Amino acid sequence: MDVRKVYIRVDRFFLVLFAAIFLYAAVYPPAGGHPVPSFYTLLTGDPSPTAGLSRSFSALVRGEVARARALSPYGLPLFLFFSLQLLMRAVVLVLLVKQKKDPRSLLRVDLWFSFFLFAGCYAPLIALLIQRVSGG
Amino acid sequence: MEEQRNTTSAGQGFGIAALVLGVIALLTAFIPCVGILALIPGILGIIFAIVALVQASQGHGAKALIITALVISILATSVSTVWVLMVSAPGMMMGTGLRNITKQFHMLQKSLEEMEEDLEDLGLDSTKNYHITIEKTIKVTGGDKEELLEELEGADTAAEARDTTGAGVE
Repeated sequence: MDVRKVYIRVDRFFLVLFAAIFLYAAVYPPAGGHPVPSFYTLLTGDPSPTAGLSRSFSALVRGEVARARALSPYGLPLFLFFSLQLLMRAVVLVLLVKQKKDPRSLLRVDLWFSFFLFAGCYAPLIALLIQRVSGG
Repeated sequence: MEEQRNTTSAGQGFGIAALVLGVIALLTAFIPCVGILALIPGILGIIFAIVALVQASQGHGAKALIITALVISILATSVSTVWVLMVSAPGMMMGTGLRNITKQFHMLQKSLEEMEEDLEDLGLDSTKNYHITIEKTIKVTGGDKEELLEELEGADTAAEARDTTGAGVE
C-alpha cells in the first residue's frame, strides 16, 4: 500500500468537503433561508440546542463576529475548527505533492494536531451532550 | 518487524472508506441539528471496517488504519444514538417537561408571595376583593362626536345586558 497516494486522496477529499461547507455558508445569508433543516426540530418540534449555527457560520464568513456570537455560541469554535482544518488540508496537500519522501512523520503531526483541535473546538458541544445526558 | 514488511494492501480500500465515513460521522454527530444523520455514515463506517478487517486478516493486510476507522465509527454512532434516544424517548422528554413545569410553578409561587408583600405595603388585605375602576380619556380629533358617543353608549347597553343574563366573563 502506497501511504503517500492514500494520504493525498483522503486529504484532497476533506479539502473539497471543508471548502464546500464554507461555500454553503457564503452563498446563504446570515438572515436565513438555509436549505438544510434542523432535524432535531423536525423530529421534536422543539428548537435545537444549536439553533442558528448555519446562520452563525454565514455571518462569520462575512466577518460579522458579534452577530455570529449572538446567533449561536457554538458557531465561533466550530468555525475555527473548519477554518484551521481547511488551511491544514491545503498545506498538507502542497507538501505531499512537492515532497516525494515517506509522509509518515507528517501524518503523525497531522493526526495529533487534528485530534487536539477537535477536542478543543468541539468541547462546548461535548459539554452540551454530557449535560443533556445527565439531565441538566 | 518482519511481519510488518510483508503486509499486503488487502482490505485497505474498505478501510480508507470506513475512515472517511467515520470522520464525517464524528464531525456531525456532536451537532444536535444534524447529529441524527451521523448514524448513516457511522453505521456504514462500521460495516466497511468489519469487511476490511476480515479481508486484511485473510490477506495479511495492515490493520492499524482499519482499527482506527472502526473505533471512530463506533464512537460517532454512539454519540448519534444518544441524540436519537433523546429525540425519541418520551420518558426522557417527559422528565425534562415535568422539571420545567415544576420550575415555572416555583417561579409563579415566588411572584405571588412578592405581590402579597407589595399589597401589604400598600395597606391592602390580600384576602379581600377590591373593585378597581380604570378610567380612560379618549380624545376625538376628527369625525362626528355625537355619532361616537351614541356608539359607545350602545356598547355599554350591550355589556349591561350581558351582565344581567350572566353571559359575561369573570
